[in-house]
Formats: sequence, C-alpha cells, structure tokens
Amino acid sequence: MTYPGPSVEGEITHMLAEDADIAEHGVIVTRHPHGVTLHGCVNSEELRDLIMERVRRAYPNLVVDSDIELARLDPPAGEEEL
Amino acid sequence: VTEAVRVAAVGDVHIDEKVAGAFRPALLELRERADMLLLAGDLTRRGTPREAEFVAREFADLPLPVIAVLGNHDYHSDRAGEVVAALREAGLTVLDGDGCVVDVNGVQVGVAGLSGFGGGFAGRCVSEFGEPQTKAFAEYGRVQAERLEKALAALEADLRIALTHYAPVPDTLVGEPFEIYPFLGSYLLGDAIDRTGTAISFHGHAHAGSLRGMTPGGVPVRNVAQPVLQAAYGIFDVPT
Repeated sequence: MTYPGPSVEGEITHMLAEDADIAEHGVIVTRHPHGVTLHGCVNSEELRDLIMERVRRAYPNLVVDSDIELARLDPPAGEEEL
Repeated sequence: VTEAVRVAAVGDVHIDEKVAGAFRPALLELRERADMLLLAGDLTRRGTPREAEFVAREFADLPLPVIAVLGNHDYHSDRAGEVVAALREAGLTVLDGDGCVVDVNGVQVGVAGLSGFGGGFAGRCVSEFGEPQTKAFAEYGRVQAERLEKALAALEADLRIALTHYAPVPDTLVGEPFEIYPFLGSYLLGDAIDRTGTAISFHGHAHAGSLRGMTPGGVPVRNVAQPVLQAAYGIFDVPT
C-alpha cells in the first residue's frame, strides 16, 4: 500500500471521463490514508465493474474502495403536486 | 379543461449497449400516468449515432409526446446532428432553442428548451473578459440563455415549461462539490425563465444534486437527473 499522491483525485476524475469505454462524470473521488474511495451512482453493474477494474489497474499500489451505487429504474411510487 | 398537467421527466439516462431496454418496462406504464415525457439531456453516454439508435428504440412508440434536449454527453462525439436525426426519426421532438405546444385536454402546454451551458451563478460567475477561450466560454453561456428566453417568449400557450440540461439555479446543485458549480449551470438561464412567465423548469446534469429549487422570481425548478430521482422518471402535477 502507498499513500496516495497529491493529485490522485484529479487524475482519476480525468481518467473516468476521458476513457472511451467509461465516459463517466458522476463519480466523485475522495482519499483515505491508503487510497481512495469512489462515490456515485451508475446505471449498470457492468459499468461499475469496469470503473473499479480500470482504476485498480491504474493504481495497483493504492486501496481503491467502491461506494458506487446502482441506479434504480423502477417507475416512481407517486407524483409531486406543485 | 384539465386543472393540472401531469409531466413525466428524467435526464441523464446515458443509454448505451449496457443499459439498452432497461427503462422500457417502466416507460410502458406512462400511458396511465402522464400527459407528456420530458428528457433533460445526456440521453447517450458518448453521443454516437449507435447509442442514439438505442435511445430511439427506448423511447419510440410511447403513448404520449416525448420532448427532449441534448446534454454535454450527446455532443461528445461531434455527431449531434446524427443523434438528433435518429431521435426525430423515432418520433421524439428534439428542442434546440425552439419550442413546441401540446394540447392536454384543452390546455395548450408549451415546452421550450435547449441544452444550456455553464458559467456559474450570480456573484460567482465567469465573464467575457481575458483569454479568447474564457470569453468564448462565457459568451456561449450567455447566448444559450438568450436563445432560451426567446424560445420561451415565443410560445403561444396557456402554460410554459422550460427544459434544459444545465441548471438554471444553484439550489438543485446542493450535494455536488461547490467548486464545479460553474460547470453545472448558469444563473442567466434562471433569469431567462423568470422573464417569460414560465410555470416550471426541468433540468438534469447534476447527478449528485438535489431535486427541488426555485428561481429568484419564484419559478419551481426540478433536477430530474436520473441518479437524483432514483426511479425511471419523476412525475409532476403542474397546475394550469
């Protein structure tokens, strides 16, 4: 394990947006003493797995934790009356 | 004449081959639940014509009008014209600085929209000053707001609705990192909405934002980014 570099949050943010297979802007990166945690919500398990795989491969010496939720695509339970 | 128009809305569906078909079961329930469906941009992930075909299939042949604007993801591959063409071919109305009117049980409901742009919010915004790139960024946001205002004002309707991808107010960005607000919306869009007698405004883009907000003039704003809704769409009863 390695202490994360000073710009790791920015590097990962760029990577997730600019990787043609991912193109994800909705993931926020926060650091902890031995790595980073990715937070957000994506709409497929396949995309979540791909994000984690790419980040862990790019930063093999960091602990990369996932707090990425999967979007719920059910109809809404009710309506909002304005 | 109906007392309320029932509007279904969602943005940031980001449909690609990984999620194609996932929204369809919920969409088929819309027949009994809404008068129109608004799509607040970021319909695709990379803005490719192939993804646009998936979007077209997802939203085609629904039993209500489907009205959309594009978002930043839909422009990414520089093929927005092809994206729009695929959506229109499937029967969707795609707005870009213009509007349309839908008759809902005798009420003329006008929707005007466009993607919008960033620039920030009053007192913390970019100006047309300095490097050409900075001026271009600020100018583009201003022109988008001017086009929205013109489109809203031109609607001949009983009820006006604004549809954008970018946010017109900061209220609905709460939850996003404060530092990126200038890339999530512009107060100029909110000013345009306030000057045109608009009843409600819908936007997306801010996945970690908040559902409810209001313009300085008191117009309700709803951030319908799909991760905010945590449902396939939201439904809003807008009084006529």
